[in-house]
Amino acid sequence: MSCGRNWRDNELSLARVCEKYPDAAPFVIIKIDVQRRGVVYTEDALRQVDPAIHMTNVRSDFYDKEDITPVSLLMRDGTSIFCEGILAESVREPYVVDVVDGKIVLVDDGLPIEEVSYWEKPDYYDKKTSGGVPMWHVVSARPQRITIHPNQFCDYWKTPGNGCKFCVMAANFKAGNKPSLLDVKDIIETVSEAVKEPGRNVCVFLTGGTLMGGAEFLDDEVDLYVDILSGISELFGGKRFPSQLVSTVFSRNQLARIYESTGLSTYTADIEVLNKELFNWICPGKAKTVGYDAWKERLYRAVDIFGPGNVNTGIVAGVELAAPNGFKTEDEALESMLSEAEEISSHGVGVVSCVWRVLKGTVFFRQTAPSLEYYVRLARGLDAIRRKYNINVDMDNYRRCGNHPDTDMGRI
Amino acid sequence: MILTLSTDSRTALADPDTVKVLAGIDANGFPHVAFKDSLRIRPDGYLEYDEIIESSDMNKVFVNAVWFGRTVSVLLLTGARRSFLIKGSVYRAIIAGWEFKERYLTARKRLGDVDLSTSWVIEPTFEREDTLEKRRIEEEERHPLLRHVDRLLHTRNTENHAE
Repeated sequence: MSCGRNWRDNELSLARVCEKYPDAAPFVIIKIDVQRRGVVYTEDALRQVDPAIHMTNVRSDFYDKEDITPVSLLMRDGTSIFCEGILAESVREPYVVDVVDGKIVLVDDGLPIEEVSYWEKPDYYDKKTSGGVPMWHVVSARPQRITIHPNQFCDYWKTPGNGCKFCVMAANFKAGNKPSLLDVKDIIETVSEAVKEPGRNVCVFLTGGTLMGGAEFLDDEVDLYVDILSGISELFGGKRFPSQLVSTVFSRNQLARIYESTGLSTYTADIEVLNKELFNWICPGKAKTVGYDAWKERLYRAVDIFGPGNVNTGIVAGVELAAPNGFKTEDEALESMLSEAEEISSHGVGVVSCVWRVLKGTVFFRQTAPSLEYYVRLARGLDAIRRKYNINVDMDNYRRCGNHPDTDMGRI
Repeated sequence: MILTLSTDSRTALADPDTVKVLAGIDANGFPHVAFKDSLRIRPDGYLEYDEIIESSDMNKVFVNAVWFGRTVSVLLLTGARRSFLIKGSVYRAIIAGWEFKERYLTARKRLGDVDLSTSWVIEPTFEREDTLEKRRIEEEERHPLLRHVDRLLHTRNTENHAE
């Protein structure tokens, strides 16, 4: 997909998309557009940042930063706008975060669009583990979620050409000075501290890069998550607790081991793109080691273990239009994506979309994300499919990830 | 500049004996009504209530209202049987941060082992005392044509007067 300098003339504006889809929440549409295009901050907006209150530092598997800019934004309806990561150069200008009439607002093309606020940091953020490691190095936060990235690298990137083409994990890891595997004791200690904060967290979330080794393929990754989740489960008396694991897709036996030996309540294995040929091109490592059809089949088996509504799969919405092998038109892509999402959902597996943020350091860094209208149509379609198959959004709603416009739509 | 509520409304909102009702419409146009004891006025003049149940009808009404600019209504009935109607727009949802933590702790202190979904902030845009006697007098002054004529008959008035 290409996008010229006159991109505003070539696609519907925010206002026109809101008019054309009056049933779609303007808040969700704004969120999509901001995530797609990114933000820059004015001096006035940065003066509103209080590092004692707001979250400015973050260390995760795909984004590390310590400057004064806010990590991300919150809208008036409680929805997060996810701004992490450094967007690649784009012909589409980013939104400007400015101060107008004393309020922090998003501005586009000189017009104030919507009021926002900055994510606040949790109480544990400035503390250190008993070993002296800053806790924010170990566990990152979203407004209502504890986020753990135990493996900050990915085995697929160890073989040239095997990494997912939209993924920034390898570039981020190589640019930083941090261990690939975090210490499990540090993680448990930090989570123990984080969960004490009243009213802060509704989910403990784990994700990280693939670990292919072990007696069975991926057993090392399973072992890592079992170690961490077992320790966290003890904090809850061994009972199941609101939690989500986003991992490589595990076998039925591996999932049963995790489910039975920990308090994990929901499971996600991101298929990334809903098309076999594009999966093979965009996620070559996953394609070679697991394969598209087996990925789906393993997700279906996960429902047998975790139950309907407790398993989903994420897609990086928009990569299906990447050149040269992606769909040539948005209509064609949409029809294919929704058809496959319906097939997967009919097995009780939810499909959630993330807005593709074309990031620096990825193989796809020269690509352009689709139009705003495409994302809105896709989000509406996924929301409709989820309602049709009665798939609960609780495991990945607006309070948890905050990066899924389609599950935001499930709020009403 | 938001509408400043009258002293009487403010007093009613602060009175624990006042019955507080919220009303609004959902995405399908269905009305929903609920008692909300936690409804209160904030120092900045906005109203606020604590929604305990994330999946409640009223929470969805409020999400729908903040998304699409719908109005919500507040009805107050005091212990002295005075009532007040306040209409407003939903300004924002407090779901995280220090403000949320304060409200979460307060709600749990007040109600025991409960969760808190959201504290919703409402900007008042309209206010009226709805006590029947007051409204009845206002109605007859403003709309003298809107009454049954038998009430105005000379003999009837005389009879009533004689009684």
